[in-house]
Amino acid sequence: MKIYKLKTGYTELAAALLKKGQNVIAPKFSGRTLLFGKIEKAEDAVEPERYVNTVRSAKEFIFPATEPVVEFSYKNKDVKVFDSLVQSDEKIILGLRPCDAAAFTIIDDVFNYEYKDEFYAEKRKNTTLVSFSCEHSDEACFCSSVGLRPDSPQGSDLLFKKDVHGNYFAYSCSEKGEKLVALLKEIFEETTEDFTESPCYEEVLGHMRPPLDTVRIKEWLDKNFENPLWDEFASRCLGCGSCAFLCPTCHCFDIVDETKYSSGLRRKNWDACQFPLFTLHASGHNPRPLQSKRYRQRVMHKFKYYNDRFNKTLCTGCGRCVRACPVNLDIYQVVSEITKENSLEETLNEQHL
Amino acid sequence: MSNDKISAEVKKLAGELLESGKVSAVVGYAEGTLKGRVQTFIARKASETEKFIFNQNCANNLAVYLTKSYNIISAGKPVAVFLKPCDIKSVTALIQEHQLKREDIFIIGLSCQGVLNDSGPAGKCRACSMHNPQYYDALIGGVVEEKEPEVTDPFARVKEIESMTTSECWEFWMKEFDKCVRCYACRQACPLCYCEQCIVDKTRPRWIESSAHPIGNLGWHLIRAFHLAGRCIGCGECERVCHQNIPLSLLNMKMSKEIFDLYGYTAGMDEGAKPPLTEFKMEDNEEFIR
Repeated sequence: MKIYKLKTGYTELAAALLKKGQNVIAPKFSGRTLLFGKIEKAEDAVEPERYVNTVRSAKEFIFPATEPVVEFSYKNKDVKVFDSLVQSDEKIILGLRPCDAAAFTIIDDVFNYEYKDEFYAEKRKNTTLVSFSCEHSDEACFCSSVGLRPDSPQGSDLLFKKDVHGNYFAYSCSEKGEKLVALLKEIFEETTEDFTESPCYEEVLGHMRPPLDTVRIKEWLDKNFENPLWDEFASRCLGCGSCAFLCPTCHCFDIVDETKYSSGLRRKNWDACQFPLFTLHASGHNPRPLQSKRYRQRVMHKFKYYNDRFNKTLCTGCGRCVRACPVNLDIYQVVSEITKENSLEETLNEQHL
Repeated sequence: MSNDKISAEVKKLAGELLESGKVSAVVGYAEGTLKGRVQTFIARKASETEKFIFNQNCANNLAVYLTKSYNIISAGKPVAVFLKPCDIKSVTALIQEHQLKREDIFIIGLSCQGVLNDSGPAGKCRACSMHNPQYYDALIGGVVEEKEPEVTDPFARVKEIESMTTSECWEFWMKEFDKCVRCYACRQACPLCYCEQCIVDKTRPRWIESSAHPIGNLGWHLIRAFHLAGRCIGCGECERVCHQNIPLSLLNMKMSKEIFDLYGYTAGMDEGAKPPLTEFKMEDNEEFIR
């Protein structure tokens, strides 16, 4: 991993990228909502010190909310089917948080498992992830509970950290990162100064929710597919898709056909396990007829099933689901309860022995 | 009355109601995990009622839990629910639409001085002229003084949009709808969006695209506004829960304004009234038919 000192600030970095004709995606305001979007002017890119994180994650640039996968048309019995173009433009996602960059390394596994999702893979290949370590966290952040830190390099091609004087230092973590530094060589200079142990990030870490014991959580989930606690947790869930759609690791999708007259598109759309329709069979039977079963699926998928299959937790602690839930159904609180429950069961078992 | 005192009162009342077996459950608010947020909480045992609180962060309209899909109302015993004056309007609307029987619920009415959202007093509260519950089974917080609302015209924001040219208006809404990811939090938080099958979930035929593209999003938000015409009581939950900050109540307020102008009707005010779009009168305004 090479370290480079950035000779300018963030806006100048964005400007330099735009000047080189790069396609830059960065946090910017749409009204009062901070979202990732294509940057036309460097000043539109909101400086990382001004936000904790965006409302939506950056997943939509690799796994869009809706995208065509097949196009079709018909005239009488003459049916034509074309594959939608898989190609994507090269782009740079600037101003990511380490939790969002790490999310891609988690969902890479599922999009390349058994069947390789070309639509995902192509965009992933053409995207450079440029992260900025967190100078602040908020009450919803819990990345340290799932093995990350405010300055984790996982997934980033280039990770920026700040020294005490406010200078940016870039850690290049991949070939794509090196390529980007080479492109902007006039504003970078290689250095040996290392901020891996920067106290600033220790402080951010200190403000976060206390770490969770994901091993304990999984142990309990392994044994408690049926448990009255699921009802207790989920009875107040409204069944919307806020948590799943804002989540950088939720990756479920639906396939729908949209036809107009004699032609149409088959689309791949985000879907959410909290919707009753998610598991509704054509027969009318629904294997997850209650919200408690749907909420259980969400927790199980994140803290057990994904772990069973890929040995990873399907959560980066970004806190978006916590911030957005209309009823403050807080997944951190839920899995903390589970940990307590697990300890209680162990104590009871020991007493029985 | 202080928040602590009100919270103590709701805990006590909820405890008594469950202890005496008068109700089967109490739906209320509990402390949240983030500053300024509360959790919704459903207690079924008197021992759980310690969790209940009431303060200015209690923005949720709990009437949503009284709709059929939650299956909270079991035969024979009422369910107690915390309701602010504006939330009671949704109960009125649900009763009018035969979705709820008055005797099935025990209303813990809360007088209200307005609630807060992330950036200060909620928009709906600035135009609110109803700070005391219209009806209730128990009143918490006493009767508060009714004061003139800060914003005297509830349709002021709608009129701003109406003053735009067609293309400005189109641009305004398409920019807003562009942010929609179709999480349906607006629908799920709405007590009046109780359809067993929502039109957007119908696939044979597919009336509205479920994809989060401009046409799908436009179709979704407009059909929802039309379906709530003369029914929306203006609790503002759709807008509050929208993490993309789409000003959804503007659409519903626009429909409320149309209904008021055409029929002089305001939703959620009278259990006995017939919502104008469900009945026909010879003297109905027909000017819009051309």
